[in-house]
Amino acid sequence: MPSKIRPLGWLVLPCRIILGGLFVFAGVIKLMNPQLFQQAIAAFKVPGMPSHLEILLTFVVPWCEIAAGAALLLGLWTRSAALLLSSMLVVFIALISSVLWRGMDVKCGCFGKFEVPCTGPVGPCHLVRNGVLLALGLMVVFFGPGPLAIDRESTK
Amino acid sequence: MGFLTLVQRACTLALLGVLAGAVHSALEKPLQLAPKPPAPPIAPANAGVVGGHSPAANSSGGSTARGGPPASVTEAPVKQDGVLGLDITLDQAWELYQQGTPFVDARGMDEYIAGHIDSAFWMPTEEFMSGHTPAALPLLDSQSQIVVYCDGGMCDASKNVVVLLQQAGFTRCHILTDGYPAWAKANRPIATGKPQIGGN
Repeated sequence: MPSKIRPLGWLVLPCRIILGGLFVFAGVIKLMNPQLFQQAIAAFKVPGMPSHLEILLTFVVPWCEIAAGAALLLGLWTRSAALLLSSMLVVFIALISSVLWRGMDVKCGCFGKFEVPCTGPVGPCHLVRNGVLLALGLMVVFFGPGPLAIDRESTK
Repeated sequence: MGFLTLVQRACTLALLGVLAGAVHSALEKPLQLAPKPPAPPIAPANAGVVGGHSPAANSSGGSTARGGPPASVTEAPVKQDGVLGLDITLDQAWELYQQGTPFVDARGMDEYIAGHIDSAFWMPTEEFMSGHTPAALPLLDSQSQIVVYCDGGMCDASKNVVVLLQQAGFTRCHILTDGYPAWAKANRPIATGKPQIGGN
């Protein structure tokens, strides 16, 4: 017998779709031009980061975004995928805060040329945007996949 | 599902990303980490753009240039840039400007509209997205000198654009290190308004 979907589950579904879709999009955009994303990483000037790690991150971050984003969209290992994306968002928020604190003028490089709703150099808008995305991710972590998820089908 | 399983699966997904990323980085052509110094000129070449196109064509009609208009691309012979390094000063940039060397603005659209070096092309890093060629790129001669600028100081955009230009075959790029603020402060020709090429 199918498990009941709590009303909250229908609230989690859009969170899951939006977050998953956004991260798959962001990952694909970054992989379309790795050179651009490498420059975005370098521009953050993380102290002590060696160049070979910079290059590895250029490819690992987008692939993690795609893997976790796709899992969210499918509802497969949903809470774990949301946990991974939330952890990444915490790191992104820390990096953006560091850039703001150091007064640097850098581009986010998060969505290539489709920087919505935040345009221009990294600023408080990026912090708020990532904060909202983090809230969506935590909702999925705590309340599960909601309806239309492989996780749910497999527990029937 | 227990917390441990939750974390284990999250780590598995992350590992999947790391493996895919490692394979991808091995297959992808090597990334260029920093701009290279400009190559010496192959032959005495005309500064400016292909076909004698004036960089002034990129300025919007409503621009408010200060100072004198940019010199014609054929007005003066190009100074051999063997002595010029990647980073150039305001005076060196001004000399190149007077010779008709094209300038490239690496900043965002809003900043370009608010004020840019008169006749500068608008070509931020976002214009180099895969599958797209910046609209102004075909108008530039890859063998001629190009000066790229952003806001100076902590701004990385010009360096990033130079890397992308070098990948596209432009070997004689220079960076105006002090950027647009120093140019405007020195009362050099500036303009406002949207670029006529690109940004659509």
